[in-house]
Amino acid sequence: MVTTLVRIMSFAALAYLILPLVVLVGVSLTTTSFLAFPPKGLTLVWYGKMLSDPTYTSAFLNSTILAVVSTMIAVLLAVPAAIAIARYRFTGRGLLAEMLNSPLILPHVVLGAALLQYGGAIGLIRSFPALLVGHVVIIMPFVLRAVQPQLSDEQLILEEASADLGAKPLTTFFLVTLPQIRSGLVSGAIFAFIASWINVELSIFNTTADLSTIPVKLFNYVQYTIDPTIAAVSGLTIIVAAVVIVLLDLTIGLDVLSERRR
Amino acid sequence: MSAPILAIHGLSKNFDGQPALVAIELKVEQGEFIVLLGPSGCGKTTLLRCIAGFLTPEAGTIRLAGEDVTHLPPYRRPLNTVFQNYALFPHMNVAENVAYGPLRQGVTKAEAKNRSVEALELVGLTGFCDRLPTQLSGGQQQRVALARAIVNRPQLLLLDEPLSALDMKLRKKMQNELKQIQHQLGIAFLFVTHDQDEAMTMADRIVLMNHGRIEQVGRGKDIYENPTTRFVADFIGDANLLEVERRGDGSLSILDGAVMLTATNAPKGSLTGVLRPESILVTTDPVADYIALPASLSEIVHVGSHALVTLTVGGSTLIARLAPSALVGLGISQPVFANIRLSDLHFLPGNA
Amino acid sequence: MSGGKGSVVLLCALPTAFFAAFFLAPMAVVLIVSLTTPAGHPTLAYYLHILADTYHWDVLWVTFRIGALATLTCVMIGYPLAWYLVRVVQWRPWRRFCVILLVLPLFTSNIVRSFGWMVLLGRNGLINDGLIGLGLIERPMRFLGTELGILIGLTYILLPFIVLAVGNALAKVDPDLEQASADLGATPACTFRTIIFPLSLPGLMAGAVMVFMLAVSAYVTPALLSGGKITVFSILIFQQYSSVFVFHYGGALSITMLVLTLALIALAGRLSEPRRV
Repeated sequence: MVTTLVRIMSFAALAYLILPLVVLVGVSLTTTSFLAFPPKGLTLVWYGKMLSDPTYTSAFLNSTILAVVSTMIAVLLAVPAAIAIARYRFTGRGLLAEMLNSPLILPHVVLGAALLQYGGAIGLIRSFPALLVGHVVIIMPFVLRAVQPQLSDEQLILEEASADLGAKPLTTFFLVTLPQIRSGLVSGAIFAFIASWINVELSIFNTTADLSTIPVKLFNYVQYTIDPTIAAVSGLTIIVAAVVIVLLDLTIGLDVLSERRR
Repeated sequence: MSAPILAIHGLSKNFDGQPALVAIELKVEQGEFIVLLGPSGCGKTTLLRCIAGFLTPEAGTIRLAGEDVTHLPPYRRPLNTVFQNYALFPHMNVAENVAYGPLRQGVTKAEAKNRSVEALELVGLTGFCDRLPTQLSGGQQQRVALARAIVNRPQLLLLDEPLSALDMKLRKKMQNELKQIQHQLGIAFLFVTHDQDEAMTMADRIVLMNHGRIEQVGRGKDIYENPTTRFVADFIGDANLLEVERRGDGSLSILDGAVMLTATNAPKGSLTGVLRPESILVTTDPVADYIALPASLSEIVHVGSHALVTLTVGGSTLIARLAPSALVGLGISQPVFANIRLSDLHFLPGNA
Repeated sequence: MSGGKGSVVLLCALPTAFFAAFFLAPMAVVLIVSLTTPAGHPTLAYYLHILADTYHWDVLWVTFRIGALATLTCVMIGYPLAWYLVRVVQWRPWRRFCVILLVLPLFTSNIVRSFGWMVLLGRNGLINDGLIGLGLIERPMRFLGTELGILIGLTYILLPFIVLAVGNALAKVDPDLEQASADLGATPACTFRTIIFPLSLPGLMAGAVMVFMLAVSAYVTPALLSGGKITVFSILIFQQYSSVFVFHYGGALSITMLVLTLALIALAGRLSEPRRV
């Protein structure tokens, strides 16, 4: 009896989770020039409009380049830090780990405000580097948290074996450590990339009419009008997110809530 | 004669279509200490879990004190279990763990506390009431698990390899204590183990299992001296298994004719001979009233309290167990005599 | 491991420098500016202004109220869903699919999700149509610009976090403990009450605190679904930086929110330690 109730509640919850996304994609296909759900007729004309609009295409490009570059920098910073924290004991280790992880839980609005205020003083505002710097700070924890568990003690033994066989530290890193942390690195990088791509609260402080990302563009737009073109932009991001998730599940596997041991 | 506390009839259980228990028949009397013994995968734990109610059998019945409990959930069966990894509730202290059962029976909090203290005294853990399971050693956790089970005064207690995680010395100590507690309380114990020494030490009766079936039931001594199947002979103690050749006239030839049994003495069907290592006397000269077989000594292994000696008799190999004192004068490659008596030779159905 | 201090310095130099320059330094600047007058003298005036002006207390109260309700709703919906995924679902592919459904919203931007709710909760949106169709209301209800609308949107954003936190906690409960409980005479309901729920509580509490933290610091969802009619704390902060340009006051607001968040983090740390119930 209780199980049936739980089942019903769960199906309702799952429907709740998928509803807005389905509606947005559906609305983006309507033939009408206003939002209608269920859509009246199916057409891709709004997607076409979006792709031929240079403000949107440049924003897509900005979002993607920003995400790619900040992910690369985040990886270059996170991997050495993860190695240091996992392998060595030094004063301030705990503090360093906490500081590097803290952007995950601190309010992005506060971070954005701080960066704007500080950036204004040193001339780092409303530019690509200004955006970049903020994004790196907030996405680095994703890479750090994904890589750190893979630098386990069992892993250390492999590195010691490598050294024992005559490999210099840098060689050991490339031939032994890197392959071991590869899956954490990839999943961390993917999460970091996504986090950067969808970010709004940090980016709104440093975007301009010319330099904007898709989420910020959407944010500014929907406060005034909502039309199927905007729905198409949203729909595209949803579809891309769905593709990324399915790929993630197929490669790494997302059975995170897996069965308990019997 | 009171009814058996546990009566199992025709019990069968499958996993994914594969049989794990096949037509099990078993009776346990009140106050008996029964040990389920067998190699890994023989079904002893599966049987225990069926009796406890965690598994539903495909066929058969389980009766507890006359009542059919086969389809009752575990919380309605009047028995208790001591789990292999103790399963102590980590968010409750020792006293709360032990008081858990009585509280479920509807006893008042004060009374449950009293019974809890009493049970802890019985297992020698007075004063441990406020400790958390994580603060206890393995042996202490084991006692708490025991106290938690017996505080409910069940008529049958199931124990799933409770001592397997303890070191040798502690294990022997706990074996003695368990026997004492069992006698004191008069509860029937159904104890699962794969360690035959443990089984021989503790059991009133041993139930030897293999591949989901019961091979033999009996007192340790009886199983050892009179194994009924090849598996039993091999599992309990060491055994020399000998090929038995039946000659045309019906007589039996063992060890290539070194030992002969006439037709009238011989049991029927194809047979295997069983000879226990300690029943072979190894000497430089034949021993009177024994069949003295010429043998060559190929290996001596010292195992502290005794030695195992490998002998070649004709084309066969025998292992003999000797006290260190009996080794005097014996050496490798020395021609010796393996002395046996016909009365020490048992026959089992089936081929070697 | 060989290398010692030199290796550590080499490895940590770049990350530490980056964070010092673009994380710690900005925070320090905000703190200092919030404690200084435009002329450059130290002052607590801005903080006192925050404490004294009831407007802030009203905004804080609204922020906390919405945050607490969102957390509560997330827990009420999330615990059963987590239970379903961990303990009821037997078929692995279905569970994987459900987890994909759960995580997909997390991979889309807040703005997209909030926009979706703007469409759904509008006067002619699907929700109103559905409620009228079912005969539950006669005229369209107003969702946008109400706390209810923000609540629906915030709960949507935060639900996956609770489900993952509770799900992990439930998956870690040792099945032997449940069997021992049944063996000792407890019905399944009793086993849930005395064993499973208490053991899942630390994970649940840690998840709830994190969700509350995210709820009170949220900006996009309340901004879009409030229609300008409701102000939460993060909106207040953003106004200072985007329109009013009073960074001293804005800084004080930011630091206030930061202190609040740090206090909640400390609370979460305490609550997720296994404790006796």
